[in-house]
Order: sequence, then C-alpha cells, then structure tokens
Amino acid sequence: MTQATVTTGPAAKAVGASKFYGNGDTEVRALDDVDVEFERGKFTAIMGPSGSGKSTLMHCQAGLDTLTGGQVFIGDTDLSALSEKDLTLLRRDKVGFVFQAFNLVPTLSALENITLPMDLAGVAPDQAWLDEVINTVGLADRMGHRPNELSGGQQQRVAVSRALASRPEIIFADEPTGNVDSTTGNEILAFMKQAVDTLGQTIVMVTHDPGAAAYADRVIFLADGKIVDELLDPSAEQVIDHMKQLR
Amino acid sequence: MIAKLVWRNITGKPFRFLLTCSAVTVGVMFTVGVFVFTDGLRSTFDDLAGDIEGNVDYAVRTQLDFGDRDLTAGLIDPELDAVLASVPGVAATQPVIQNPFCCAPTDGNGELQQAATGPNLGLNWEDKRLDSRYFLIEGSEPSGPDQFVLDQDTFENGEFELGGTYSISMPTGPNDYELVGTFFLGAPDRNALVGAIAVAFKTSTALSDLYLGFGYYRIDFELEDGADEASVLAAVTAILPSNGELVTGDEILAEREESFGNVVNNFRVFLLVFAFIVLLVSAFVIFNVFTILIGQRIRELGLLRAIGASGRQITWALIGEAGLVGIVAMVAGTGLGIGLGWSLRWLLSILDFGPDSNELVLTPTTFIFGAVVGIGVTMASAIAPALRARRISPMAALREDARLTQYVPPRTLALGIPFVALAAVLIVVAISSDNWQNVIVLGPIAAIANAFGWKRINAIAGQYATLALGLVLLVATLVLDMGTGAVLSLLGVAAATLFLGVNGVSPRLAQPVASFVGRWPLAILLGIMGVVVTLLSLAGFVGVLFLVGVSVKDLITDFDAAGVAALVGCIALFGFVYLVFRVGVRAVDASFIMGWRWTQVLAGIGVFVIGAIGAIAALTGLAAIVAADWGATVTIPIGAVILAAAVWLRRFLPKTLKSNARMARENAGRSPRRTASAAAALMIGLALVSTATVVSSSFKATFADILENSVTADWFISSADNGPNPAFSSELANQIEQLPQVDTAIRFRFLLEAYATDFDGEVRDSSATNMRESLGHLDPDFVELNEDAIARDSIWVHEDFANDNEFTLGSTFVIRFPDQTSEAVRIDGIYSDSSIYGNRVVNLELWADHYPAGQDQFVSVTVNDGVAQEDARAALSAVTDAYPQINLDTRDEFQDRQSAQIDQFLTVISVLLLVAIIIALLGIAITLALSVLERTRELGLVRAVGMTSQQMMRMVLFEGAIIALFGGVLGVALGSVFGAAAVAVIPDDFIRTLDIPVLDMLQYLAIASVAGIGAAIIPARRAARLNVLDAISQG
Repeated sequence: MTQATVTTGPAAKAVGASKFYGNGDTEVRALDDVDVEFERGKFTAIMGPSGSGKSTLMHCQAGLDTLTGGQVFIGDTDLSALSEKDLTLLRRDKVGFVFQAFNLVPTLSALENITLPMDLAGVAPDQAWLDEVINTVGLADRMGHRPNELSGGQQQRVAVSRALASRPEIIFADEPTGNVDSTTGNEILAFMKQAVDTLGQTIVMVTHDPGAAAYADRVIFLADGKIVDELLDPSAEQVIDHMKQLR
Repeated sequence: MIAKLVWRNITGKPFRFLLTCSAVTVGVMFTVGVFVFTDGLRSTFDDLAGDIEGNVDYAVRTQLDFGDRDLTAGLIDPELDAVLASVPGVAATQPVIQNPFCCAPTDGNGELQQAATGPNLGLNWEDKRLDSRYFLIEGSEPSGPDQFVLDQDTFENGEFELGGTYSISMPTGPNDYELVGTFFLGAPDRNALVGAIAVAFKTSTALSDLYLGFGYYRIDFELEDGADEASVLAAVTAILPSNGELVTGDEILAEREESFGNVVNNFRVFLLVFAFIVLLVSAFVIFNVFTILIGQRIRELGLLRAIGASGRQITWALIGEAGLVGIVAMVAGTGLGIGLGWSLRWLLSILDFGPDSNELVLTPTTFIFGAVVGIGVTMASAIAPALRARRISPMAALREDARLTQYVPPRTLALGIPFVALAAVLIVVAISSDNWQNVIVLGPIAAIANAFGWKRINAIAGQYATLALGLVLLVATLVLDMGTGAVLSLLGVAAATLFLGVNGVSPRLAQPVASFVGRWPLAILLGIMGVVVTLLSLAGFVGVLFLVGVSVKDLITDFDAAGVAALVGCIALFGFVYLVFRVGVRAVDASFIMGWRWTQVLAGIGVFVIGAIGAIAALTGLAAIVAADWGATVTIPIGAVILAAAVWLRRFLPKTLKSNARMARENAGRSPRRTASAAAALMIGLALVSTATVVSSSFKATFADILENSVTADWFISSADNGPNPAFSSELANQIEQLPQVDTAIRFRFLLEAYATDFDGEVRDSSATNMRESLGHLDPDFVELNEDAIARDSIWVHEDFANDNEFTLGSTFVIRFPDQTSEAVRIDGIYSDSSIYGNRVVNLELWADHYPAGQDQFVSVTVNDGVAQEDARAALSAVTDAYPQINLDTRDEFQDRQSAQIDQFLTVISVLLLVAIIIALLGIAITLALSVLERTRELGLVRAVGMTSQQMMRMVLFEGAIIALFGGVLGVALGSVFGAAAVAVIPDDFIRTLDIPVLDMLQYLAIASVAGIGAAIIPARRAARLNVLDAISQG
C-alpha cells in the first residue's frame, strides 16, 4: 500500500445527502439533506436514538448503501458516480470496517483476516506497518488462531487491525464495542484512539454508548435524519446531557 | 397443529420444496418409464408372437431337450409331409421353414436391406394351409425356384420393382432371385414384423436354399371337420419318428410368447439396475438436503420445543414434510415416467420398430412401484435426520451456534453382540449356499444387522463396521470358489456396502482432501478444461445449427411426426450445448481465482503439464503393480522425479491469492459430513463408470493379449451383423479355401447349449472348428496334445474340465446333441487358455452332422509365404465382397474393431449412468445453494471489506469444483478397486488381463471438476448478487 495521499481536504464528506424509503404517506426519511465533513486524522462519533439515521449515514458514506439524493465523497471521489465494482474496490482499498459482531471470516486465521483486503487486491502487505499494527493491538502470539479460538474482545481487536492494516483513507466502526464487556470495550476504544492520535488514522464510529463517544474528538448527533447537534472533545457526561436534550 | 406447521413450511418456501422434490422425481420418472416402456414392448411382442405363430391347429416337429429351437433344433424329414397328409382325418398339412438368421436382400441401389432392430427372416410361402397367415399385396405368389416375395414395408422403403432380379444373402451364399410379389405377415392390413425384414420362397426352394435340403422346421396340420380329434392325433403320433413330437398351436404360441417375454424381461432388469442406481443416488441427495434444512431450522425447532412441542411432534412434523415431498415426487415422477415410457415407444415406432399404433400399457405394478419408490425412498432418507431433530433441546432457540448433534446409540452389548452374530451367520449362509438370490437378499440384511450391532458395541467400531464388512465381502469374492452368478452378486453387495461404508468414513477425508486438491493446479486444470469445453460447445453450436437446418428442410418437404420429433430433439440439443458453453466459460472464469496474470497463468500451465505427466507416469506404474505387470513399474520412479521437478519449478510461480482459494477449500471442508454426502452421490455414479471402464479396458487388453500370444492367423472374417446370431454362409469359407494365395482357412461355430455330457447330464457350451488346421492358426496353450490322433471324434478340453471330471488324455465320454443322437468323443488335447475355445472344442466334421444347417460364425485365414498383404486383401475381398455384412480384417484391423465394439458398449453404460450423475450434480447444487444461504452474513462481510462480486463468484465455483473432485476421487478410487475385483472374478475365458486405464480415470476427474463448476453456477450467481448491506445486517 502506498503512503496515503496527503491532501488538505476532509477524509470524507456528505453533501445534501438524502435517503428515503417508500413513498407517499409511508415515506420514511432516514437521511434528510445531511451535510457533514469528517476531518482527516480525527476520531468522530455519530450518535442518535434508534431510527435517527446514524447507521444509514455511515452505510452510505462507506459505499455500502446508495443515496436517494445528494452526494458522498471519500477523499475527492464522488461515490454516487461509481459502479458497483468500483465501490467494492474503493471499500477494499480506501475504507476500513469494524462491525459490531461477526467481523471475521471463521475459516481464516487472525493474520489472514487482517491481510484479507490486501490479499483480495493481490498486493503484498507492508510488513513493517503490519508488524507495528499487530504489536500495537497486542495479539502477536494469537495470529495463527482461528476466530473461534479468540475471545470476543480479541476478535474485535483483530477487526480493528484489519481496518488499519491497509492504511485506508477512513475507517468506519459500527458499534464496535456493542458485543463485549465494558473493560474490553474500553481497551478497544483506547486502541482506536491511539490509532488516530499516533498513527494519524481517520475513524468514524457509530455508537449509542456515551462512554464510547467520549473517546472521540468530536460527536455528531442525529435525530430524524438530520444533524441536530455537535460536540468537540466531549466527556461522557456532556454526551449524556446532549442525548437527553434530543429525547 | 403439526400438520399446519408442515404446510406453512412448504408454502413458505415453495422453491426450496420443489428443489427437494426434483431429485426424487427423476428417480421415480426413470423407474416408471422403464415399466411403461417394457410393458408396452411386451404387449407388442405378444401381438407379434400371435401374428407369426397364431392360426396353427397342430404341428409335428422334433423334440428339443435344450438349446434354442431356432438355432439348434433338429429338422423334420421332408418325407414325413406326405405321410402325415395321408393320415385319415388330416385336412391339410403345411411344412414350415423359418430361418431368422439369413436372407438380407440387396435393393436396386445396391443397398443391403438389413433389419436394424429385428431378424432378417427367410420363410417358405404357405401354399397348402387352408387359412394362410401371409397376405399377398401386390404381384403374385412365388411359384418358380428362382422367385421370391418381399414384405411390403421393405418393398416400400428400399428401391425394389416387381419383376426385378435381386441378390439375397442365403445360407448357400449370395443368390439372385426374381421379385414377383409383396406381402404382409400376420394381418391383411399391416405388417406384424416389428422391424424384421422377411422374404419368402416357394417351399421347395426354401427347403434347398434355406435349410440346405435337410428338412422342415415344423409341419403344421389341420383336421377335417367332424374328424375324431383323439383318434386322428393318435394316428399322427403313431407315424412320428422317434425324435418327433406332436404339439398344439396354443403350445407353440405360448413358447414363442415366453421366449419373447424373456427377452423383454432381461431388458427390463438391465434398465431397472440403472433405475436402482438413480434411486440410490437420489436417496443420498434427499438425506443430505433434509439434514441441512433441519440444521438451518434448528433455532426455529428449538423455539417450538421451548413453547412446548414434544420431540416426537418435531419428528412427525419433519417426517410429514418428507411424506409430502414423496407424494409430490411420486405424482410428478409417475406422470413424467409415463410420458418418458410412451415417448420411447413412439420413438421406436418412428424408427420402424414395432407397429404404428402405440397403445399405452399401464399395469398396477407400474403405479405400485412409482409409489413405493417415490414415498418410500424419500421417507427412508428423511427418517435419520428427523430422528436426530427429536433431540434438539429447547435451549437451541437461544444459542447462536446450535448444531445438530450426531446420534451415538447407548452401548448395549446384549443387543449388539446378537446382531453382529446374526450378520455373520447370514453372510456365511448366503455364501455357502452359492446361490445368487440368497446373496442378493441376505447380504444387505446382514450389512444392516452388522452396522446396527457394532454401533451398540463400540462407537468407533460402529463407524468403520460397514466399510470393514464391505472389504471382507470384496475379499470373499476374490478368494472363494463360487458360481459366476453368486460371485458377481456378492461383488454387487460388496460394492453397495462399500459405498455406504465409505460414506460413513469419508467425512474424515473431506477436510484433508479438500485442502489438498483445492489449490492452484485445480485452477489450471479448470482453465484448460474450460477452454476445451468452450471450444467443444462452439463446435457443437455449429453442428446443432446444421442439424436444425436439416430438420427444418425435412419438415418443409415432408411434414410428419418424425420430423417434428427431430426438430424438438435438435432444439433440446441446442439447450444442452448452450449449457455446456456456459459451464466452459465459467470454468475459465473460476481458473482466475488465483489472481494471476495471463503470463503467470501460462507459466502455471507449463508447470502443471510437467507435474501432470509425472503424476500420470507414476500412477500408470502403480496400476501396473496391481496388474502384476512388473516391467511397467519403472515409470514410478521416473514419474516421481518429474513430479518433484514440477514441485521445484512451482517456487518460480507467483504466490496465489490465498484467502480466496483458501476460503473456497476451507468452506468445502468445514461441514465435512455435508460435503461428504454431497460428494457421495457423485462418487457412486463415477465409481460405476470407472468400474465399467476398467472392465472394458481389461477386456480389450485380454483381446490384444490373445491376438499377440495365441493367434498366428493372418486374416479374420466375421459378420458385421450385431444380431443374436451373427453368422454367414459356409460357402464363403469354401471359396476362400480355393484361393491360390490361401494356405488354410478354418471355421468357427459356437453354441451356449451345444450338447449334454452323458456322465452328468449337464448341458455344455462348446466350440467347433477344423481341429487339425487350427493348429496353424491358434494356440490355446496345450498342456497335452496328441496331434496324430486328431479325428472326427476328437475333443479338446480345458484343464479345469479335465481335472474336475478326472479325465486324462485319451479318456472318452459320450455327448448327446439336441437331435437326440449321441457320440462318443475322445480327449486328444488338454489346454490351459480358455479364452479362445472356451471350455471345449470338437471337430467341425462331427458338429456339422448334428447341426446340418449351421453357418460359420467366424473364419480365420493363413496365407502362403511370400504373398503380400495387399495381394491377399485383393484376393480375399474379391470373395467377401459378394457377401453382405462381412468384415475382412488383418490382425490390427480386427483388434481395432473389437475395441470399437467394447467402447460402444461402454458408451451405452455411461449414458445410462449419466442420469445418476446428473442427479448427483443436482445434489451438489442444492447443497451449495443451502450453504450459501447459511453463510450469507459471512459472505456479506467479505464483500464489505472488498471482495468483488466476480471474486465471490469464482470462490463458490471453486468450492463446487472441489466438492465434485472429492466425490470424483473417491468414485474413481472405488471404481478401480471394483473393476479390478470384477476382472478377477470374471472367468478367464472372457477376461484374464487386468488393465486400469489411468488416463481415462484422470479424464473422469477432470470432467468431474468441470461438472462441479456446472453445479455451482446458480449458487455462485446467488452469492455474487447478494446485497452486501442486507447480508451483513442479517441475523
């Protein structure tokens, strides 16, 4: 993987992004004309109550889902102009993912899971960077194991490593601590924050846990498909207060 | 409530339900089709028997203790006709001559009118019967010695004119006759010949030219009105010669119906064997599908248990579902089967085989079999998974990773030991009875008791018990001295047991084999095969388009049912070729799974070819060990070295995209039981094809071996007729003998029931030849030979026959021929190679006295020294050209001809097994589709992190190829073992040299892997089209 291109613009942005389901009386506006930018080298959390559109925003921003209206960009690339195949290649080369659960392919070892996107691209991983990521995640001795031989927390850490390994423009994490106990969750979040602070990675995380959001540099609040609030360098208490106001 | 649940399950997923039904449906269709088809055939043949043997009141003929009356019965002295006619009360006598093995006429275009599907009949015109069975249509009856009449159908089909002179191939050689009329046989308005071709002559001509003047086949007679039946018949009996008998017309008709019925029955059994194989394969598929479906619904079933359903209710719900599958399959399969049977008959009638009327014969048996097979097989296959579902705990509803547990029966020695003992006793009883029916019935029961018993003694022993029993039975077939029928059926039981045994053990092999084969060489193989298949299909397109053009042109000029059928067939063929094309393209696509560039792929092909050559050489050497051909084993080290070179070269190839192919082979190996069951169905089909291949290849090897080591003749003359009794006029050899280029010519005749040996009353098969001259043609490997003693009463016997009956050189014994006369014969030679003469050979001189109207079946010729091959060919063919349907071959040509015939037989077997193989592929397709469904979330994940849909497609395709190749490897390995065992137990006079054709076997593996691609196309497309977001958010 070549060094991520250093440009000044945001790592990703949405312009007038809208996503409607159904029509007429039954129309649901999952995203309603959202404008947002995700800064390079920052850890952004997206929060909001169930049905607020936070997952939809992430899915569309990551090229997993398509918009009804507006545009989303990864770097300078307009996702709405891309074909299905190009979207896949973009996800492979420029985006990293951490899901809530079932992050790993059960038939591949931890190491093979980490290098999977690069392997699919047919490129060799940058060995020095890979070692650094694995050492940071602290699982060097578990790399030959299959996912079912790892604990839930270890699995999530492997997933974060996979997202980091190809040095994507941006990593999207969808409730990465949703399925693990709080101690493990904190470890994972700290690790993600470390990746942002020391490795310069850009991460966007969807969560409904104020404690998790407190690790972020910036929190965006969504309600009814619109961005309603924003908080910089938040603490858990501040996040809880803002969430209460949304209800 | 349970019924409602069953119903909801089916209506909720109709596609899945129909998919499950399809496998059984094909099996039922095949079975019912066989019944409908053969019942129809039987009715046609019964009608035919009535047409050709009906309308006879009484007849006199010679007695026949054994053998086929048409072939071997003694003839009635022509003088008897006048004596019979003079008996008071006899109204009319009608001498009957019918020779079913002669008399093909050549038409005006020089084309021989050879009956394709029936006999070529030579008859005498019935001139004396009051009520003739021959109906003159055009012209006049044959009245002169050089005249004949021809059946109306052949007259119309060929180029014939009344008054023309045509050559007919007669027992006396080709002769010219004038065509004076045409006739229908059996009925005034239609021909009852079922594909036969008939010519008829004046009785005296028929007697001299068809039976060489030796006598009549039969003399029919009718009584005067009012004559006293009993006294007239007594008077007739009084004038009969000692070997004569008096029979009624009803008896003759019944005999003929029985003999036709036997033919149809044998045909039916032959087809039913294949139907049985199809059903066995279907059972595997259904078992697998039900197991997977229950596994996928385990949480739903756990929920049912949690809210209060009993385990019994769960089981009944699932069995009810299987029952519905069975019923639907039965109804659909029976309907389709009736259609299949009927269309086959229709096709035959279009091909001029049988009457135009094609009545549908439906018997209760057909429906009973359809029901038993459809519902029975489904329920039987579903019962094991349904019983396992009973043990699903209510907790399964809550657990993510709930799995169906393998049932381990409790250890009960009190139950186990008696069952194992019972199995042992049954096997000993079956084998010691030396009776094939006992083996067929007791063997499977013993296998079930054995498995049931061992499972209760020890879990691990239970797993291997069936495999072990299969091996024991296989060894038993090899070492025990049993009759051929019993030993072959024991081999069949051993094979079926081994199938089940291997299936029980193969899950252990699934993972290692999948991980061994699912690597770059398979991708290269798929690429090469894909290109070949694609090119073949393109050639196929051209061919099919040409055929469509021809059939459309035919339809325009002459619109008839045959033309429509041809067009429909062409269109179906087009669909098939298109399918093959798709598979070829997909195989090429799948070969790029390694992510190599073109140049790298080419280098890979190079390394692959080197490795393949090494592997073929090594395997050929290994096969030679089995065949005890030690000279050929040198290829093992050579192959190993080449293979090692290929492995070494591998390091220069680029690394593969490991995750992609890796996931494919890991997926193939991750549910070993499922993979093994899916592969097992294919294993059975391929094992049988491989067995047939080994046997036929060994047959060819035996033939080549005989020709090389035991035959010194230069030329071989045989009949090209594929009928039951391919023979030709002995006049041909008479003419050959006269040629100046020819040194000697010897004739061969053989009958399965030639004579009975007096000392034990057994009816024996025998050959006959010109013994003295044969020494210059053939060497049966004499142990002892008294060459000087060769005379009319000499016999040469195989050493086993001599030893069994304690005969030595010079021993004499009496043999009795079907003409009721006996001869004393003297053993003047004892040989050890039974492949030439079989077990006995007598002098032709003696033989001809008892089979006066016999014809030669085979002639071999030695030419004088210094005669060039082409000169000899010119001289010989000058004679043989006058005879139709004669092959004149040199040694090489003769060997090629035999090989071609064996290949033809192998093709027929393979085509019949194709149905089983298609069902097996359907099974793999269903298994893959269900696996893809099960892994939706995982597939969604890899798509999210960057697998393209093309890569996804290749991955599933590759998985299909791996599963199919796994089944192929098991099948080919088992088939080679079965084939070798079959060759060992088949008597040496048929096959004595084992030959395992390694190239053919590897070819089957290559085809299997491409077929796996075919099975995987639809599941792969579904996987590739998964909506990523839906997939990852599932569950």
